[in-house]
Amino acid sequence: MTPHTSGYVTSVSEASPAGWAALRAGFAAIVGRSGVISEPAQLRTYECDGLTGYRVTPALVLLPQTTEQVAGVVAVCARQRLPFVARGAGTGLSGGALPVADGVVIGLSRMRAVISLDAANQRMTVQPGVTNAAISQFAAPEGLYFAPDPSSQIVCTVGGNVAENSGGAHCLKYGFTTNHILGLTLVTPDGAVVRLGGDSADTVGPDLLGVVVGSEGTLGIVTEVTVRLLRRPESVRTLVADFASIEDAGRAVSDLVAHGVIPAAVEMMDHLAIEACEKATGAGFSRSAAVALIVELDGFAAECAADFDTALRLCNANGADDIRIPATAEERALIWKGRKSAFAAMGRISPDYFVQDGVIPRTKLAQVMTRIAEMAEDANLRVANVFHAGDGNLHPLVLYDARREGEAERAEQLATAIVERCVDAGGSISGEHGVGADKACSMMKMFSPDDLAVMKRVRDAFDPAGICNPGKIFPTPRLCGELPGPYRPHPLEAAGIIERG
Amino acid sequence: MSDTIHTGSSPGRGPRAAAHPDTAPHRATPADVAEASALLRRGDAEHRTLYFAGAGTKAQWGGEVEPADLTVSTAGLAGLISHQPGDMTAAVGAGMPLAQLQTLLARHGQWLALDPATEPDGATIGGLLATGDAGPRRLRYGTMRDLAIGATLVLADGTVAHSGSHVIKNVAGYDLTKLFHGSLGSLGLIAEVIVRLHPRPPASATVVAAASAAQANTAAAQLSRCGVEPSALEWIGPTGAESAGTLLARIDASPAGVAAGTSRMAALLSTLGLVPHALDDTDGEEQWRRVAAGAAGGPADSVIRGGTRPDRLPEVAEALARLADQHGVATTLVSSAALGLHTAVLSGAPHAQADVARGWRRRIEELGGALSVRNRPAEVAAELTAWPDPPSAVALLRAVKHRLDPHARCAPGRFRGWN
Repeated sequence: MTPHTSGYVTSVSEASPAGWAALRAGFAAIVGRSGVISEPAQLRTYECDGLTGYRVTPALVLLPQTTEQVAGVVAVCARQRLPFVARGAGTGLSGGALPVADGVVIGLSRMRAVISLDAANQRMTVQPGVTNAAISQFAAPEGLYFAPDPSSQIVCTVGGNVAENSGGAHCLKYGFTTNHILGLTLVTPDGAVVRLGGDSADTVGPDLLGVVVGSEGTLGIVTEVTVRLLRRPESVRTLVADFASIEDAGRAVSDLVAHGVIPAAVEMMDHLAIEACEKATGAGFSRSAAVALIVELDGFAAECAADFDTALRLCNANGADDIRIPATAEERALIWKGRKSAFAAMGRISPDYFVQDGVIPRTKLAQVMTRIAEMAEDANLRVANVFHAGDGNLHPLVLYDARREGEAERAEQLATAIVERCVDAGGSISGEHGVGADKACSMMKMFSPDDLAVMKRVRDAFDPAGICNPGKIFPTPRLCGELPGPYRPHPLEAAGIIERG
Repeated sequence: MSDTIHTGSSPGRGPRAAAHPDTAPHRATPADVAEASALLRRGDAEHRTLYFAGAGTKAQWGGEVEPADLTVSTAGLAGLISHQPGDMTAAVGAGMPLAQLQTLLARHGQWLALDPATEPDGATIGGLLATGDAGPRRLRYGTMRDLAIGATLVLADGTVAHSGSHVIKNVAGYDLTKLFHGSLGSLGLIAEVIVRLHPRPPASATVVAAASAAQANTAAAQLSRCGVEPSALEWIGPTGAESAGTLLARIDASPAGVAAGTSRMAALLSTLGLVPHALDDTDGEEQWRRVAAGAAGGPADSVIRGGTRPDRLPEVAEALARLADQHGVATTLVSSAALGLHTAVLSGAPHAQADVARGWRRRIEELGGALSVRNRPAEVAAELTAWPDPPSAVALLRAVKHRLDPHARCAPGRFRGWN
């Protein structure tokens, strides 16, 4: 794939080696010498995130430890019009942390402090480099946890969760990162420090916090995060049901919803995905099943038990071949370990693969899955499917072998065609992985030029110089070919004589 | 406490509170998004100011809007555009009254999980998004911030922008729907909203107990961790010399779940020394109407809203009682005990109302929270700013406003003091 360059003419990129040396010294004065990485071999550690097909080596990597250091570094970038990219653990799957050549990466891995835990009010304030799982571990003695649970939760940072509005398996009932953030400290692209959100549950004024969450690092750098913690539910019940087809499993899910049950999680894995998971983890999924459906219910014990009986009944009514109910918390954990290892497990059955992340209305599940199978056949490629069936978030994994001539390109085209099919079905190009560098061109499939222009106005309000994670989310002619120009009303339309249909 | 729900802020219904913003010389009711777009664009060159009107149930919230050149009513954008029962989503015109939407959804056993006090007065979907108004059950279901998954917005220059989609899980593009949450008409017109729906709870019950603020605070904390997952926990402050206050806890579940949950909550309250009564749905509704009425005021009253961390309730209630005594103002207080949201109605001399509001704001800010003004008579408005001091992000708020509404046409004055 084509490496990206910033496209921004900066005083620095044209500077002499002596100019860069001065800049390095300036940054070292803010973050300390150990916080500046400039050796080419070390810089390559930062050349990509979880989307490894896109690689750009940054000019410098900076590792601040405090909000003040981040603000200091960003202020220098703003003065020099130097593009910067924030990075957490680098687990993102859309190239949201892809560096900009001649720009800096601001790594937040050293900002790992828990600032405060207020158990009585179910909230915790942490630095952005704290991992998702560490928040729940720290809160566990109080019976509290952080609800978003992306599969990468052991490694991924909460700063990254905020940037991507991460979800996970349990967001059908509990919502996404955006529903669990009470406040943020944000370093704006000009180096100012502002606080969004706060103690009051009411929004006072337009909800900037809600815009910053999920903005993929394009509106500033988050340096403190106040998360809402939930009480651990008193009861958790899980089942794994094997079905002969996605249609049958999908009907079981629809029936469950029609009965007014909102499960904590509903996951599906197809045969190929089961095979890969079993090879990698031995979690106990049945290799003979065409589809495995995981249903988890949690909450008040009396309610949970009744809903669990309903789930069992509906799985049986829709032809489940076998239903496994984990007897212990360890068995349940193993099921989730198997499910959450699914992407990585693909390495067991294919040398290379693309992870896709589309969303469809749940009722279109069978129809879209059939179409994906046809498209895979046409492309002569295998597609494994792992998905959050409750909220229609599909993760087709397009398997290929890069050593075979042209197969990578074919796989990439198929992955793009699948996600665009999701938009045609009334869904979205991304449920949780983000747009990043990967899907910027697909944004035109989902949004009109006017929609994108309004989003761009919001970006310009935060970052008029365009130095904060440039090249992400928004399609550009360089990346996507000729773009339709911004909408200009016809003079007759402007005069109110004609209208646009 | 009176059973009457005051509707002082609704246009054309009895005496008015402060100057009503819906007084523009021209009023337009676009029938669709294209018409709304053309209408707004037509006035752009002359910078004609705009006021967006729904049912007017929250027209006074925030800063007083200066009289606008044109009122744009969402009454013509009031249809159910689509409802996908299987996907539990619906697209709705912004002018659709919530009550009407609930009737349509009930046929499919679904609802938009909001129970704002303004619903009986005609509160619209667009207004609920623009204001963030929600009722007691936001404890479980959240507000429009959580329930709106997409929107069609029309900016002052006529640009139509879509955000989100018909799926609940979606991270493509900036969440402009959330940006408009709490915007109070200051960024543009909300024309259509896509919402996430919930199954209607099969049963519901309420446990009620007399409780002081301190007792309610302890009880709310215990109830939150008792495993039941209540859908609302509200405390109504003292309503007379002999009254300490009333705690209400609601559960929405299956009939068996409601029975089990009610008895567990009642048992817990008993161990705290309270005397709980379990109410069936009908008696419970009567109590919840009291909660709604307690947060509404008459045309001569001020309604102010504070937010703090939940466990600050005793200090917040104590401060209001002390200030009310000191200034001779009658107050009612309703607090969402597990959320830390406090709505107070102040009745009495305007000058004294303003003093109480300012004193309470100061105390709430000392406790880490914030206070804004919803309704107030004109005499109070002259002495009391609607908003707290500008937040640290005020430069960003101004920049966003300037990019979306460069000629400051939308709801001028709404965020007075901040721009």
